[in-house]
Amino acid sequence: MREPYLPRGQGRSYGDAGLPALHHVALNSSHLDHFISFDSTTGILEAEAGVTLERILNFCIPKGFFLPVTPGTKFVSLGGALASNVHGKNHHKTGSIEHFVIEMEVATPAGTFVCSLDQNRELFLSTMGGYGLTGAITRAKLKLKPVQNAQVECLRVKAANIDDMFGLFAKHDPDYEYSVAWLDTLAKGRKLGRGILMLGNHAQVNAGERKIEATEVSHKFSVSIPFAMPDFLLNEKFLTLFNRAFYLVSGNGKRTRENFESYFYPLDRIGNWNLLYGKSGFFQYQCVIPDPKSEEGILACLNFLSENRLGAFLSVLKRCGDDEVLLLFCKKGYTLALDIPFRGPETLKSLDRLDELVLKFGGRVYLTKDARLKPDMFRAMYPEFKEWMETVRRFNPNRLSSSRMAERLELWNES
Amino acid sequence: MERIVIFGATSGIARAVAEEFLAQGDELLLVGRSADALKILARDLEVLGGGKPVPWFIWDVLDFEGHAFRFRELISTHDVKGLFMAAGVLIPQKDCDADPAKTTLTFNSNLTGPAAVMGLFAEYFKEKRSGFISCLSSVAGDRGRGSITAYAASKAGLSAYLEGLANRIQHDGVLIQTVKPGYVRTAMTEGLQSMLIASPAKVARDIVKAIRCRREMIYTPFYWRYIMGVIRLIPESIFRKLGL
Repeated sequence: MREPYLPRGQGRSYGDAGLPALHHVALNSSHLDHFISFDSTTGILEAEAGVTLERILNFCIPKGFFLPVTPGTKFVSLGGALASNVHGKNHHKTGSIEHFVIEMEVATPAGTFVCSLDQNRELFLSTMGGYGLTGAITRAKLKLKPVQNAQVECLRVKAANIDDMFGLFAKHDPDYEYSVAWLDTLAKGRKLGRGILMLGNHAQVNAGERKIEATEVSHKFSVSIPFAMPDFLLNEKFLTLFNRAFYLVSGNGKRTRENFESYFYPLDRIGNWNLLYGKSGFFQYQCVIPDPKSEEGILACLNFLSENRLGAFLSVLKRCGDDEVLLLFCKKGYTLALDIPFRGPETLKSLDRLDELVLKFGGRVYLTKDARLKPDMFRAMYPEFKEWMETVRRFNPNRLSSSRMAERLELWNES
Repeated sequence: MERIVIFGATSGIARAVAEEFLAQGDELLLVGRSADALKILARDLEVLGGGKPVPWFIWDVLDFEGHAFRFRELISTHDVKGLFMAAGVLIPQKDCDADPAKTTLTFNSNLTGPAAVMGLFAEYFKEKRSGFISCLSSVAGDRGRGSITAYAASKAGLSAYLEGLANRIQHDGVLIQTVKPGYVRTAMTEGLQSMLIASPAKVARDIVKAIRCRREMIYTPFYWRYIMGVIRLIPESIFRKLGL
């Protein structure tokens, strides 16, 4: 009998999705980090699951390719990205990474299978975004996207409040592949939901420019937070001032050309950025509220955050498209992601109330980032979870692979 | 087509060095004990190199009877312009104390085995009047170390062997290079937390650059030269109390 385990990539989930359940060991994938094949005409890359997105980017950018979907950090493993079915700033156009996985191999407790949309379809749809509960993804074929160079043409537009912001999304989303908005969740009243919409397209090559520059994958100097910052940085007055300053100094209608690293991975430049949140840390809270109640729901959430003074540095709003996997997060509508500084038990109580609000508008919370959702709330938000768990049980009947998250959400309970 | 032989190719630093050679357009020949591991690595390097084939060769540094034969076989099938030697093990000292065979294994993997292999290549390069041998020693070999007695002594012996080789054939157009890395993030240091730890990629860049510049001895990252300079100066009576 094999020892119970949980496959683990780079350990970058905010919550407990990557923590092994009690008496389970972490199955470290960091030595499973080899490329297997690459076809430069189709852009299909086959790699072992422990390869990081950073390694893929270092390889494919000089060849004129980019990740078809990328989360906000490149320090995650390919296997972890698939297990979370990650989405990026282009979700409104392309959906999550599931749409670009040609096939993958999964070592389940019931045996090792190759799966795709055509072959072992159920295993594919329950492993993608399945948080390792069907077993370990060992390798995958990913279709990369051709790009002309590693730069992004950006446009920043200011919105005075949330209605303004919804209008900007509707106006600009069709023309831009990437879009994401930063919101000042501490602003009140008429300024509620003010923020900056950041739009981007992969830069085209101008006449006379070289197609790909070798220097574009940089080993640039980056700063690192040496120790947990004192808690006064999270003082509400300081945060309010910080957010106000950030909003005021940002140029409206500013067009820039940025390197992909500063556009897609700003936080990767700051080592241990999480220490900015001090010793008590923070919760990341991301929810999606599907259309047609999306705008109304987001507005309600913002009101709630503002009233309860929960917001902090990074609050992010973006439009989602549709996904297909069994346990899906993204639905056509808006998704809101927040860093909530942990200020004690009252923070948890406030987030429980936020859950209820999200549920009221038909929304759900993203499990990759969650550390505190209650089992009943999860069941209400994800009614399709039973179908997912049925497949999970077929490949993993004895809970050989299980996480703290699975225990917390009581996923193994029959009802 | 002249190749660079990477001995102990599947180790963390060797793999990064192989990638660095590949990036500057060199042809490689991977050497190791396990065909399965070599195949996986070769395929990875082939993808990185844009489809250029990367051959591999099985040769165990502990196979003392077979060295002469394996060497002739390698030389007759491949043209070689350099050797990067990365074979070696770090076995915890308490395991060596409990089992003398572990002490023997440490010395054979880190010193006697690599010395036998490098001796063969050194004569070959000397006759060709060109080529290089770059070998991973360690900062640990700069002093006798209580915490890793066998490992440090084997690396000290290795450094002395390389210095001797260099003295013998330095006039023949052959580079003999001793590489002394500090802490590097590899399987050998798994779980180690240190401010001074470097990535294999950084160390590999230093090594390949030092080969280009034909330097006979490098510390990598560079600051270990100064750290070890100080450590070497500490009188024995005080060094003993540091428990290093």
